[in-house]
Amino acid sequence: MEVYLFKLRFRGPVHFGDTGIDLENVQETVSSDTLFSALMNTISIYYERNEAEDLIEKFINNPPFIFTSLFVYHKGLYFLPKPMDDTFISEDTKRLKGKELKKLKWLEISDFLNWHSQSNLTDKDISNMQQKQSLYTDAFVREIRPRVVLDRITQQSSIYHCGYIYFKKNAGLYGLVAFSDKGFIEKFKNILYLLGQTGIGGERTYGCGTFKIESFEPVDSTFNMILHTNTDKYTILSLYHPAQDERQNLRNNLLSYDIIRKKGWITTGRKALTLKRKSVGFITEGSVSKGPLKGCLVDITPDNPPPDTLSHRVYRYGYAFTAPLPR
Amino acid sequence: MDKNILGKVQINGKIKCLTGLHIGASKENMEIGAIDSPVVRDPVTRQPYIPGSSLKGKMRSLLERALSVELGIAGTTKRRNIGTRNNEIWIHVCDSAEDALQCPICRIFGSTGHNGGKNFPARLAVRDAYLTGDSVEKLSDIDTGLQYTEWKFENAIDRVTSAANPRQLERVPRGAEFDFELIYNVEDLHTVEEDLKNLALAIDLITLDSLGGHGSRGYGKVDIVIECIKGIPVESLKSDTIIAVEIKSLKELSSLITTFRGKSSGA
Ligand SMILES: [Zn+2]
Repeated sequence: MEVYLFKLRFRGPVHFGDTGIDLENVQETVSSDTLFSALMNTISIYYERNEAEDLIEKFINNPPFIFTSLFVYHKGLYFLPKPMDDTFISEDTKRLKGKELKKLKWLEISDFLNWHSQSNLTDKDISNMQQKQSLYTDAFVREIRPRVVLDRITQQSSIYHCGYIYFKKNAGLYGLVAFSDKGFIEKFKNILYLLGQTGIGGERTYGCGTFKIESFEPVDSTFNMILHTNTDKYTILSLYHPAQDERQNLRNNLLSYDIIRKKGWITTGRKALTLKRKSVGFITEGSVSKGPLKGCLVDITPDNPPPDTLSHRVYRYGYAFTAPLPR
Repeated sequence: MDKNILGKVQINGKIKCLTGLHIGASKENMEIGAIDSPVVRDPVTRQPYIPGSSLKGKMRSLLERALSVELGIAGTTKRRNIGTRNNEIWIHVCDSAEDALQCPICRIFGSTGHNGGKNFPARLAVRDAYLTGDSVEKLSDIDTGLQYTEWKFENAIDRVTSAANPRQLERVPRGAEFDFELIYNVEDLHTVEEDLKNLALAIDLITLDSLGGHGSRGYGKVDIVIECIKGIPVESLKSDTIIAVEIKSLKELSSLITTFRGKSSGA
């Protein structure tokens, strides 16, 4: 597999939240399933619809590429979710540094590599990790904007609130994409470029979420080690939905994990439908397994959608991107 | 069948403040002891800006008022209360994507479906407008005790008790300039001309009205100068090498629209 790192620099504020839920509630990262839907919608807007359908067909059978969720970079530092498995840390350290360890959510990649190689952590390691994490929280500012709607007749106003994230200079989001079919490298880059023009996330009608591709290059040094270390544990860097044949052994395979339920409305091309997709559970980023994981596309088409509303099936992306990548 | 995009029209220009501009921020975010009525600022640079939502909202409501009679949306027909029962806010919104496609307002500004109707996503995106480099430089030097802005005492008199209620209002000084950018998605050839003309009308209407708060007291008079209008056909968007037709004014629309002809096999 050929793995590329892509960096996005946003042109203004972003709004990443669950549609239809609280508009104030925003996060700074984008999960892999959201990125997939955004890429597919971009294809169906800019290309013929059957092109999106062909690609989905490929993804159902054997994905030509898989990717991580989008994580934060700041001033040359790249952050990854802290692996949830901490069985290698001594009981003493856990007792003394429990609070600090709990507050660690994001690791700079060299720390991630250390965690990954599972040697015991010293107090100094932990405070180093904390210090670098402060650059994570310093990468962006959260803002709640009051928004006013004006009545056309009485000119009365009503106020609601909406959350935004502003990335600072030298900060933004990055992702890793691994190609099993090299023929898709240029295509992926092209779709990402188009997505940058339209924007990712919500509030796009105010220009939110538009970005420039800062770089798109094969991964080097640290990431290479992360993706190809010899370890018997796998950390998930995307959202993961187990494939049918993985479900039997799942409890046994997962060492430490969290679950998130995703729901929302269906968008098809430029049209957002007032039609709810089936909610679906995912294993989250940072979960750890004993063996390699695969995942699948999940069919979330609602049962009996009203005719003429939806002419195609709807999927959520649930392929696992793990570190290390399985051979 | 879903509609594909034919291209984009990108409109860039400047908004010049002819009077002080006050676009209010929420007071919850303000430090204690600060000014009574602060302006919105970019949380990273601390510079005041004009939110895309304010600009777009103003364009929509002015255009809606201007076209209400010919569209038959005066009064409360074809309007929806998006406020509460006690604080009613009536705006025009089409109930289905099919209606929105026929409606000059919803086609540009978008609509949310009702009674099972599809949403119609706005064709127009209005970005936040930030201070020009020049204005940032000029405003960094002003000595008002505030960053990039000035403040003014306003004496609001309570109409009932006649009690004076002096307060400080923060505003962006007269002369400040903002860069603005509008992106219009071209989805078909039948409506692009009408949409762009209405966009131009909405921009004109803002210059006759005002932006932000306290417009009745003379705040927020602006001049809007369009500097560049680019028509970018979809093929050029895809190839990463932007080949665009550029015009200087919306009066040269027809030459812009030809850019998208031939790109629409089915339309
Ligand atoms: Zn309408």
